[in-house]
Amino acid sequence: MDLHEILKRPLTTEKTTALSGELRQYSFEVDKRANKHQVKEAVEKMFKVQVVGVNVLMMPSRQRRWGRIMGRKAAWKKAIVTLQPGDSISFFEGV
Amino acid sequence: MKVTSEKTGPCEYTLTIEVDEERTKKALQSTARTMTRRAPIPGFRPGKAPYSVIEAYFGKEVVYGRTIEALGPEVYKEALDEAKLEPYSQGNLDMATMEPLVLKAVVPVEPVVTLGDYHSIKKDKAEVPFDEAEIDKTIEELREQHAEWSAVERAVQEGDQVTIDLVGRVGEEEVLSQAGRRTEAIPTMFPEGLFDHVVGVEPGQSVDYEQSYPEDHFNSKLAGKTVSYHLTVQSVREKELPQVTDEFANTVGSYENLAALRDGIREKLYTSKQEDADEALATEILAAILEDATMEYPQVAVDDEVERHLREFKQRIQSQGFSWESYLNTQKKTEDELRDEVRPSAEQHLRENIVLAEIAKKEGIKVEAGAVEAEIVKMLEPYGAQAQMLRPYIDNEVSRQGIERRLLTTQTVKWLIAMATGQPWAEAAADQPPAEVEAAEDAAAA
Repeated sequence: MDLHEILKRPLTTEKTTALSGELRQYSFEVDKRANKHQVKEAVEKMFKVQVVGVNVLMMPSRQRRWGRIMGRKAAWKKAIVTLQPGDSISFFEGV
Repeated sequence: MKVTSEKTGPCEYTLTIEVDEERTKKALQSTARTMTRRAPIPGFRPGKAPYSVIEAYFGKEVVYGRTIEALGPEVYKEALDEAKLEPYSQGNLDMATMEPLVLKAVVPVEPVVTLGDYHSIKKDKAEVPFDEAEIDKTIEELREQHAEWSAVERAVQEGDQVTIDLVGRVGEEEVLSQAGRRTEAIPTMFPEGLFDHVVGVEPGQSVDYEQSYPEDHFNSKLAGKTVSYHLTVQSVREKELPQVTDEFANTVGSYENLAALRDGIREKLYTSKQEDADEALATEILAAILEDATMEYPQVAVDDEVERHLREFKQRIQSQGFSWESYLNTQKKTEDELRDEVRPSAEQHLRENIVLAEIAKKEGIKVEAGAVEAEIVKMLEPYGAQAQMLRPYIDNEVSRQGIERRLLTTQTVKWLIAMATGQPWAEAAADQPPAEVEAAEDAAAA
């Protein structure tokens, strides 16, 4: 799998911003099929950093209703990557 | 804060303002916070997103632009203080660079004038030529205005007022039909030839006559045709000029007798001539002063003056009942062309005003405390009962300033005239009745 296929998007919320400070933990939505090793490799290559830990978790699918139409939101995989001390990632480069 | 000032034109300075980093940062963060409070970024509660996220989300330029809106005026004011500049009007503020934050402000400053030796300007007050015959002429005009018409049973004479029926035919076709038309019997009456035929006709009589018109007559119905007219005079009224008596004096104005009327006319004519003469004199003196004066004024001042002239002109057109657009159409001009046209006179006017203001300042000419109030009362006088209602329109800060400026200008012009003609200057002299002024002049001459 290609790097960009593994890392789908960074997550920027209040919570993830807080994690990225002291803890150097960065969160991504990743491909459902990707495992910790692949995520680690992808982050290291894309951002030129050293990853010391990866946690992955499945975000559950949820029921959504749009008027009379019932639907489901797809389940997705979230990965929280811990970098080695001194490294950091800036998501907004070149914006 | 570092401010450097550089002169970039007549009465125009460019300030380069370098804002302290600390201060910029604080200002940026405070604007960023308000921005995300109003438009929250997804993933963050309103007002909670960190600065770096906000900058990336809205764009750096936007955040800086918003910041300058708030920070700019504050910094601008401090920079003016530091550069010791007195702005003539609001300057233009622009951002030069973002990091470090450098602002550029183009500031127009008060005009600078160096006057020549205007004290040495001497002009003779022109004698106002006055002829008693002019009073007679005015009285004649008044008689005409107060003439009365009375019906007479005699043939029409020149100058009479007639009521006529007139029908004009070419063959069987009626080209003109007027009934009960009231007009004055004078050689220029319409249509041509009517005058010759109406004179001598008794009331109630009818006359038939023919009249040919040239090919190039302006009325296409009549051009190149011979018209048969049927004219009936219904009534004749004679003009009666009132006798010049004391009673006449009373009806014309509230004058007691004929002598009072003549005196009144004399005074009015005299003052108006005096005013004309003074105005001409003032123009001469001003021209002389302007010649010796060197001055510098910002371009904005000229632009403002042009706008003011144009606005006044517009108001005048509209008060005459024309719309501005239709006026422009008939003149085949655009507003911009008109603007260029008034520019030279506006600039001249500006120069005069600058000189007058400078002289007023130098000579300590001031408008008296109650003068503005008195002027407002005078302006409202003609409106009588409505005065109280109109008062707020005239009695406000802006118009008070305008009135004061106008009064100061008049006062200064009066001072200049007094100076140039060698009369003693008394501030109260402005409002003295003419007799006393003459007495003062006599005293000065003695």
